[in-house]
Amino acid sequence: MPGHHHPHDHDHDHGPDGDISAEEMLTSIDAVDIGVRVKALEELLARKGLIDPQALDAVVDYYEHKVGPRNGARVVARAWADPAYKQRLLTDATAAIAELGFSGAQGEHMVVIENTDSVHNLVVCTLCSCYPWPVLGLPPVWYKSMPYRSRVVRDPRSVLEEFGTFLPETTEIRVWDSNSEIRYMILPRRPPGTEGLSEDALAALVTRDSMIGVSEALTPGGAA
Amino acid sequence: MNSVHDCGGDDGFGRIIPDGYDGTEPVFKSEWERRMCALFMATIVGGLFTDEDFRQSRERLEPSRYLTRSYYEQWWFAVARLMVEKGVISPAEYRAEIARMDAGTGTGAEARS
Repeated sequence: MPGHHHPHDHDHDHGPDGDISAEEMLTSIDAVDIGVRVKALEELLARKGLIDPQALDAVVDYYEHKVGPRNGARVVARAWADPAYKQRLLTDATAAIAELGFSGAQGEHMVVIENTDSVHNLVVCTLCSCYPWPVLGLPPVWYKSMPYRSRVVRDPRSVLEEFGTFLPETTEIRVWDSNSEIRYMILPRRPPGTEGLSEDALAALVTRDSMIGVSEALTPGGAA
Repeated sequence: MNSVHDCGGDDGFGRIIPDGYDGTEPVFKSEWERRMCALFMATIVGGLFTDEDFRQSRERLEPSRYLTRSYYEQWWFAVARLMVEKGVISPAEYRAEIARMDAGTGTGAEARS
């Protein structure tokens, strides 16, 4: 900095205490192993009493093992088995899902869309990774990826085909872009040959991907 | 914010799923991803930042990094930036913590009494 006398001789932006900026910090430790970067942040925040490592373990265990697409499958199975429930689900999804005991963060404003013989629906979050955690758990890698987010809104039929889902040319395809408020879940078509099955047996046919809409529900004892 | 994250309709990103995809995959590919997810949940529930703060911080990741870093590494960038910008931690103490861990076995156990 010519002509400028500064108490110290750094050539970077200064934080409030003469420290480097957040951007510079991120760059300066960018090459450190990501496991170390994460662990160091956790240790630092724990030492300040801002987080509790034991509680962290419990939170992850909850989302990894106790919340997942089996919750959504139970909602779908109930809707297939009980027309009155299905009506409530399509009218006020958040309340109908809560009837089965599922609610919480990232699922405060749920909308459920029904697939029919004439209209097939799928869900994306083009801007990031919004996803209905209480019914589907944490999103799969592909849902958060650029290839899915970019292509599904422009060429959904090719995306469906990549997932092995081939629909008649006459089927209309609609894509729902999630956001931080509204989270969508698809109610797949009930497969043929499932009359009289119990809700448990129905739920076993409901895959995570069928509730995102990239595939259909499984058929009993056969291929999707 | 207008940047590479706003990718709806863009061409050229290629295939979505790997060959042999069977509809299942683990939620986390490694332990650090699990810890990063937990750290995010703990800090946002603890009120250290909001959903909007987090989204904006992630979108501020420069395009070359946004396009090449894994999902949970993007989360690290977003949370670490917010912790500094909100004055929760200082760059100096964070870098010192990392240096302590690098000097040890990588577990950081030596730095704790």
